[in-house]
Amino acid sequence: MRNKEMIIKKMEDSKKIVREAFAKYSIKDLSIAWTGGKDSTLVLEAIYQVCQEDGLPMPKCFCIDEGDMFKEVRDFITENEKKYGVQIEYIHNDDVSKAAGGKLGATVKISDLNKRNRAEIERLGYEEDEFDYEPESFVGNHLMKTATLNMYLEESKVKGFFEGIRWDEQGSRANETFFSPREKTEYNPEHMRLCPILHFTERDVWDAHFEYNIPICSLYKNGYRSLGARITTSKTTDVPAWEQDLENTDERGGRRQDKEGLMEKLRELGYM
Amino acid sequence: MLNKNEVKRGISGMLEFPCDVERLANKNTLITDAGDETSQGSEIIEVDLLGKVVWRYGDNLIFAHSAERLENGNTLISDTTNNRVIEVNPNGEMVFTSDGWSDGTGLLSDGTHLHYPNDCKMLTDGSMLITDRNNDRCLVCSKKGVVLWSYDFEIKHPHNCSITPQGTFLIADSDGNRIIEVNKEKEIVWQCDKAGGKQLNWPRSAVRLDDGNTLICDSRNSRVVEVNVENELVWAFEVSYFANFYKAVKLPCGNVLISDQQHHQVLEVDRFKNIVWQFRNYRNTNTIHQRLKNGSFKQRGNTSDAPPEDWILFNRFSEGGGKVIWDENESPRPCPGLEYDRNGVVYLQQIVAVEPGRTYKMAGKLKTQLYDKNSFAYLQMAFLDNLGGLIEDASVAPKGNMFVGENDWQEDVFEATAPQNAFAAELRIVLCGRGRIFAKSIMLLQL
Repeated sequence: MRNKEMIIKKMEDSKKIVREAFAKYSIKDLSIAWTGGKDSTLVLEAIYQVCQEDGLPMPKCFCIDEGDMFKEVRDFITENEKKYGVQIEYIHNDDVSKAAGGKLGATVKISDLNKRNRAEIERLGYEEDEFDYEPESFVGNHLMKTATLNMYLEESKVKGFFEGIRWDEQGSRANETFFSPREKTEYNPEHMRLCPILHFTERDVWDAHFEYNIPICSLYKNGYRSLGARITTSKTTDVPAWEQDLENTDERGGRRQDKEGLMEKLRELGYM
Repeated sequence: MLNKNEVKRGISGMLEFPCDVERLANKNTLITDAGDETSQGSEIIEVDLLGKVVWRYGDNLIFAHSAERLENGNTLISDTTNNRVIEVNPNGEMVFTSDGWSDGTGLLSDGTHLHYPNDCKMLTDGSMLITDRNNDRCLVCSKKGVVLWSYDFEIKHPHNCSITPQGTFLIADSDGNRIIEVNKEKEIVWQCDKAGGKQLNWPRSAVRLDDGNTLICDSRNSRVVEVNVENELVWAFEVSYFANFYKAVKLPCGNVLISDQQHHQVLEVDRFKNIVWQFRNYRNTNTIHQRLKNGSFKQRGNTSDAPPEDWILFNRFSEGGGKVIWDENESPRPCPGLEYDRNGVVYLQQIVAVEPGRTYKMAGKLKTQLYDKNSFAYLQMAFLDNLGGLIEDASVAPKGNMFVGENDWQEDVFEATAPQNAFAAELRIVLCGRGRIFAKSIMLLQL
């Protein structure tokens, strides 16, 4: 274990965030976004520890089923619901999958969708009459994840939810805050994003899993480093995620090219 | 009468992208405006102390970088993208052009042609000192194009060369991130690559002062520094925003005149760093859309090579090349693209208003045919502040996947958070280098 004290300190900091959230909101108004991935499972663990130590009930849990979940992820969640004393609610955009006949890759006619989903498409500036039902395409992802989440927030009336994003994931997350308020818009109610593990690096997350004996979805052991929808998530090695060169390679490996050489070229050109 | 999609461009007397600047004996200021993002409106303007434009010249200039008022009252101009230097008289008549060298071929006596000259100065003997950027050299030649001296040893994309009172040459070796001083024998006698402990980042001008110090315009660091012969920092003017200062000159009174490219202005600052004079008459002539428009390219432009409606062809840095093309066979409708054959960059762009602190996802599909390993394409969101300046250098501004080689349609998505001082974003479809690309289904989501 690398730097055990540091990991324990980071975990205690996360629990502080959880306790602050519990002081600010009633537990019944909070929810946990648990995807079965390593980050949100660590969040779940931090919340569980607080609830155990303080004698509190667990908040409710939801998982966005974008229509292409790994069986291993679903099994992992089922196996561990009991351990954490939660019952997961799968949320899904039924209107879209119905319009696609439940078939991935099928073409969806936008006119077949309900008003809410049509508004979400218009919001993107997408002007075509149809799109392909692929959870990781921009339109698909938006409808199956973002829009689905917004509908959940409206219906469940939760005031905030916990999620497992981290500062080191990608540039645009570098300025996130532990309490990240979202204003009411046309598309989502006002709510708070609670991000208790922002300060963990990818390496820290694995160290914490071993330190606290947190369950790990089998896909990570088989080489997957980050879990998304089934058809677009690939692995480049059979080495368990935590044994890979986390510091020098991309977490969402395989998808993005090495930009560095090109970045250098771009700078050299001296163009603004 | 303008069509819906047309914007009045190249507004006479409006300063868009200042490069060279100098204070004249009559107290007026001569400013070289490199023009707007569509390569129009490059002109030389002379403004008085009250900011009134009292003289201008802009005939056929493309991305001019420097202008010097000569003793005879004429103006010597480096007309950069036209690969030439010219001299015009006060009536705006061209009295000299390097295009006339070697029987109209424009060739110098060594058989080369100026390539992207960024600076030109008249020396006391009537010869010219030219910074020939894309040939990676600085040279002295006669007015007839006979090369008398040149320096091209290990410098990359110099922007400026000036002669010192001792007769040595100070060269802003921009891509070398240093200033060098060379003598006539081409020996380096002094150099500077950092100031105040900070590495110079793309310096674009250097001037030797009377007391032996050197005033350097450290562009990407958005500062002007004065260093002594021991390379110690003795004065600095630094701003908190990305200014990309181009040129800095010291006036006899001790003030410093600086061209601030990103904020479309010229500043005069005193030793205490007060801004004591300013010239800025810019307004953004591009429409700032409330949200992305025509991302599916349903509305085409007026002509077959026009950009789609609501988009502009940004070719300021394309060195004279780059055009809009259309794939007429694409479904469900023809889609636009870019074709480019040189070493610079060209893009399709539109500006969309953003809210500070909000996160935006940009998405789109690209198809690429790029010809060499140095060519690439990508989508970009470059945030602008309220004075219409980029918040950060475009090489580091948020961008998506960098596509190289041949790719069939691929969707790319990336996200970026608008900084606290952002008020708009330039959404770009970028082609850097040689090849052709096509785009469809550009989208923008505010989270």
